[in-house]
Amino acid sequence: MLWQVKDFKGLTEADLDIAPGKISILTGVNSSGKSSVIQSLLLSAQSLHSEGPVALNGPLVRLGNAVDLVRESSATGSISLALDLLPGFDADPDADDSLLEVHLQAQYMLKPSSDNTNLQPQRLEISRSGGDENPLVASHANSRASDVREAMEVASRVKPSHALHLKSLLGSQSRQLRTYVVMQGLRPVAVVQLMKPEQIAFRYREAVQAFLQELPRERSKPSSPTGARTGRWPVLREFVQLLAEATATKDQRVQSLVDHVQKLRGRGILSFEPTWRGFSESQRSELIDVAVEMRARSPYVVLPIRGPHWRYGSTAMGLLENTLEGSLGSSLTAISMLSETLRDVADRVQYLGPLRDEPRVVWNHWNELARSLPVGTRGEYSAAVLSRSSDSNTTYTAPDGQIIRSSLANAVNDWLAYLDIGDAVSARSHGKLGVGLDLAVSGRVRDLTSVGVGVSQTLPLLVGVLAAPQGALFIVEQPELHLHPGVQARLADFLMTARPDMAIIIETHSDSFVTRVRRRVAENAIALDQVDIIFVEPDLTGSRARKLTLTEFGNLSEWPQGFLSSAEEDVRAILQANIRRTSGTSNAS
Amino acid sequence: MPVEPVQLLDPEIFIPSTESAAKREFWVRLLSWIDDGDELALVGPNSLEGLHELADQRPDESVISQNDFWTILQKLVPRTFYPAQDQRSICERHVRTDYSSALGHGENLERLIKDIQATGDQPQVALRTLEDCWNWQSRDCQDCVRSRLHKLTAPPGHSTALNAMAKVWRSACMDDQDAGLKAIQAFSQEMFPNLHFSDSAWKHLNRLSGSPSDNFSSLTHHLGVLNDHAPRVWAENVTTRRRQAEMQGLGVPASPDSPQTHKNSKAMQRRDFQFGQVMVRCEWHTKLRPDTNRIYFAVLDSGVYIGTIVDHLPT
Repeated sequence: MLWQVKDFKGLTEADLDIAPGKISILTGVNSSGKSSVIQSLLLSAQSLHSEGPVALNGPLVRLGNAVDLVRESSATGSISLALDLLPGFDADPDADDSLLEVHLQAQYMLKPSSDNTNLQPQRLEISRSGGDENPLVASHANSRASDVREAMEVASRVKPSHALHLKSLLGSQSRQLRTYVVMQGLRPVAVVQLMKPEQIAFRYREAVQAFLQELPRERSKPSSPTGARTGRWPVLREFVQLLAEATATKDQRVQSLVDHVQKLRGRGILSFEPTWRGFSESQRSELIDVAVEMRARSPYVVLPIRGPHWRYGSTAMGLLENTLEGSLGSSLTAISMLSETLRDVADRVQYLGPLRDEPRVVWNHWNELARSLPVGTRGEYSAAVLSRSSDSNTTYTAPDGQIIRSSLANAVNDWLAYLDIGDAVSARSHGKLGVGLDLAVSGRVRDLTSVGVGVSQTLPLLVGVLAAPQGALFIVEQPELHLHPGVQARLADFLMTARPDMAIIIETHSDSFVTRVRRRVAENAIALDQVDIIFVEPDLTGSRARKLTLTEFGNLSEWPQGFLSSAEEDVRAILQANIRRTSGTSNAS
Repeated sequence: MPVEPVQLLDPEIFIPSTESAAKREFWVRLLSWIDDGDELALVGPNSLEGLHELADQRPDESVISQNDFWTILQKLVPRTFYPAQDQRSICERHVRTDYSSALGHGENLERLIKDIQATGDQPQVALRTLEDCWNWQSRDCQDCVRSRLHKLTAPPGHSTALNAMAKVWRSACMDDQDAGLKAIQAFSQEMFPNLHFSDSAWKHLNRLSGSPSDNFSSLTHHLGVLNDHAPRVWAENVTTRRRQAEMQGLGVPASPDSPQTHKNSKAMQRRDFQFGQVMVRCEWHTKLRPDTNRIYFAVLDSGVYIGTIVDHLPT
């Protein structure tokens, strides 16, 4: 499942696979751009949590001004963000009532907003992976400012931050006039079609007349993604609603029809047909005129994006909405899949930073947990999380490979013992003061201020990973800080083993960590395709991330300059100094 | 006091021929020699040059990763020593005829000879080398004996390597004209790595009868046999008589206490010795001389326990 970012901060390009079960190890020299790769995910997650424009500064990451986020030598002056959408289903055009699994990819082009406070999507493209058919394109280019304003106003209920003109549909040549994808930051929240009142009137009249003539007999069914079948009840409900709204106006002409409208409303939608047929031709025609006029007062069609509508039935509430849904077809499915995928990514991201809160006897943090921060950026909520969920069960793989369902406390203790930094940890309430952690080491119980810093560095990671929700995307920066190389290596075992359901992204400089991963690959303990080692390498204009291929022998296809702490330079220098020294030519001797 | 023997690493182990450098087999063999914890063998100054060439012609990534290559070299390059002013005299002729390289570089023999010579007047040299490189024909050559060169062929960390090194230490001790009984006590760990000595094992050394030099050699011999053979003798034989016979065959008369002594509980208590927290009854004893001078010991699954070295205990 691809996550790709281009031209973001100092980064020219980086790809990550964020599918559950995947472990990505980011390495590279300082300031190479490793953190930028991670920040692209954190930025997206925190924006999606905030239900507003792209949030540059929030609980997960603080990035400052938008203009600093676009790589200086970017050819387009914009950031590109691409992601694979969760697989969805679309109607098979060759077979009735059957669905095809579709794999789509979305790509954003993001530019700083005019006031430089956030990033705005300038272009959104959704295409079939590997397909060569036309992509869906929604773009800011050449869109009328007044239309953009109007589209956002129309969809104001869903708090839009921007609207993109829908230029082309997925796999289709047809053009949609004045149709906009309304965005809330990165998330598409609605599709709005703007029309002139007379166009709306004409279309609604045409559609409603045809509908009332036929009055479809079948029971209401959810419409298919192509909108081929129009639901009976929503359309009738809309029609009656329009008439009811009209009677609330002071219009003289309408007043004479109030009784008829009352009848239609009073007898309920189920007996609409006999009531309707009971009216004369001219009465019916007058009622249609009134409804058409009312509909034309809202010269637009709005389709809210509420997740995968192919799964939950049509989101369309009226006749023209149904028609628009039908004409958008797979494109609407694609936009819904994007929305669903973004929700999924935002829900999955869990982050733990490189630095830790200093060890304390008691922590007084408990209720301020932010989304995506299971134990806080500095691990300051570990004690609270452990004390709250020590009795709730979690499923994890133990160091010996067994899959266990047990309390979080047991899970943490299992791995704590494996890491060899303590025997058992337990959270202890200190009443109003907060929660403390007691650690048993060699049979003696101590608080965290009385044990090595390795424990306070590692414990939040254990608690965070083991408490993370199923299928999470766990991001951790430099988990090796303050740890002995032996513990670093065992920590690699923990991250590779404990939660095979999660995707884990690790930024590290640790030689021992990578060597342990190589060992487990050589031993066949983890599969080759389960791990990506990604090396971020600066060049003149920006840095690039590339995957280093791991072989089944535990070797890497290449060892680029700056990959971990190659001892080469120092070993050569020691060797040469010792040759000089033993041959008696060294001044040092 | 005896001088610690020099441990020298045969360049065969770490400088490959061009063909061998491309073989995983060579690097696997090297790895088994390099992971030696605290047993440091040295790289001779002449072999450093070979390492330098190797660093410049690094083997292919597919054979050994760059990271692993430098990790290995990192362990080797600082383990060197200054060449002695006066070359050690060795039996160069026999080294040349007996030695041949297997996977190593063609120049390794020259490097080896120079490295041994560079150890100068160090009393003992333990050469960590490979069994396959030597023609083990026994030589009646005084030059070979005088060169005091011991070839140790087990990779470090193995118990055989530990025992082989212990023998070198014993030679070092025997060689030292001035080494007294105290030297055995001081270097007991190195000379007899399989023996556990009780807290009071050395307390009665001065009660031994006879000349110190006689006692020195017989004590070294007896403890050496206990270290090298006792666990095997005890494991292979269950009866006292057979154990006695085997020990006798190794030149060490030994027996348990007589039934008379067994009846004397006070006397038997004198055979209980403290080894840290653990008490072990040591009633077996070797006889340095038929009438006196005893080493009281016990052979258990966990090792050989030396209770005391004394003229004799009451019976």
